[in-house]
Amino acid sequence: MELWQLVLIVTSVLAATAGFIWNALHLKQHRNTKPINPVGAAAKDNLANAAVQHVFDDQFREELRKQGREQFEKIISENAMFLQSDLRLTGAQLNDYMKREIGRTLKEEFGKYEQSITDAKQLAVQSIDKTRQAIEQQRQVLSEELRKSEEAEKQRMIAHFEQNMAEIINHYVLAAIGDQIDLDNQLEYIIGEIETNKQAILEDIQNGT
Amino acid sequence: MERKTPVPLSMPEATTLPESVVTKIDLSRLVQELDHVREVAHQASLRGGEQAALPALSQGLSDLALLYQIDMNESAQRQALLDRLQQVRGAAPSFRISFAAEPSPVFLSKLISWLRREMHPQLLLQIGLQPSIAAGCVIRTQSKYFDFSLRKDLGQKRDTLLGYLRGGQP
Repeated sequence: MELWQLVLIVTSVLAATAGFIWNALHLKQHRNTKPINPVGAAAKDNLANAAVQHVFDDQFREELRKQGREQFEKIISENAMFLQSDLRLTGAQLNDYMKREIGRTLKEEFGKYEQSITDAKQLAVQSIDKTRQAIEQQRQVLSEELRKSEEAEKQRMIAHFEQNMAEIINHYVLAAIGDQIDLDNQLEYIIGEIETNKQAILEDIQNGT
Repeated sequence: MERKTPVPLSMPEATTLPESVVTKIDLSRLVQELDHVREVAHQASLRGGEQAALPALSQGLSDLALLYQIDMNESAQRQALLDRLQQVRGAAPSFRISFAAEPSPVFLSKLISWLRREMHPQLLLQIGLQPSIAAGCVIRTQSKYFDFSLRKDLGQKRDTLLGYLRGGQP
């Protein structure tokens, strides 16, 4: 039941009660203000009044009042029940409405929150991915540089080793055979070498003298 | 020393030195010795009397006297020889030659003989020792350096050695 229906019912009850009360009061006023009539009419009036008085005596009025009060109370209680049930219904509807609205709002907010978390996670994942790619690139660059550096160092060490080994071998050979070769046996070789470079030696000697 | 045709001292460009004279020190020693002989003879002449016996001549001076047919008792010839030797000492070309070991006199004799025959008749040597060269010799002239040693030969064949060290063909 809607609120306006409830108001209408209450208004109707109050109107009926007011009408009843007015009617009762009007009848009472009419009884108290009877006119000075001629004898015949006066007698009729007196009889009528007596009849009315006989019919509407205090007991009858009391009875009417009682019925009116009971009817009024009945109507009031019924309307109160209607009002109470309407209020309960309205309360239940309000509860449902609040629940729905709150649930919907919470759902929306949780959805937005979840979306923002998802977006943040996505951003974090992208950032981590970019960082990982940058680190991977840097690692490759460093690995390449390290490999080149190692290769260069290895080549240098190999060259140094070869040079040292060649020097060691030369020294060993020279030391081993140096005192084994008789100088007299070298005369032919020496003369041959001097013969090959004779012109250069001679020019330098003559330039010097 | 083999007998050669006497060379007149009047031909300075033909002045040659005996094989026993290898270095400037040898030549200086000869000059000193000749000067000593001259001095002895001069002393004897001052004292007068019979001709004094000259001191024994070294092999080098004897060879020289024989080469140039010099009578050492003749003062004029002695003096001429001395002057010649002093000229040669001042003008003779020389270079330094180093060996791995001490050369023998026979070796030096053969070497200097070839050098004076092929290069210059008055060539003198400065003998040095360089054991590190192992074999051969190194010659140092006024402005050049000639390496005829085994050390240099091994250095030139380093690539061959490196090839063998690397385990492959050179």
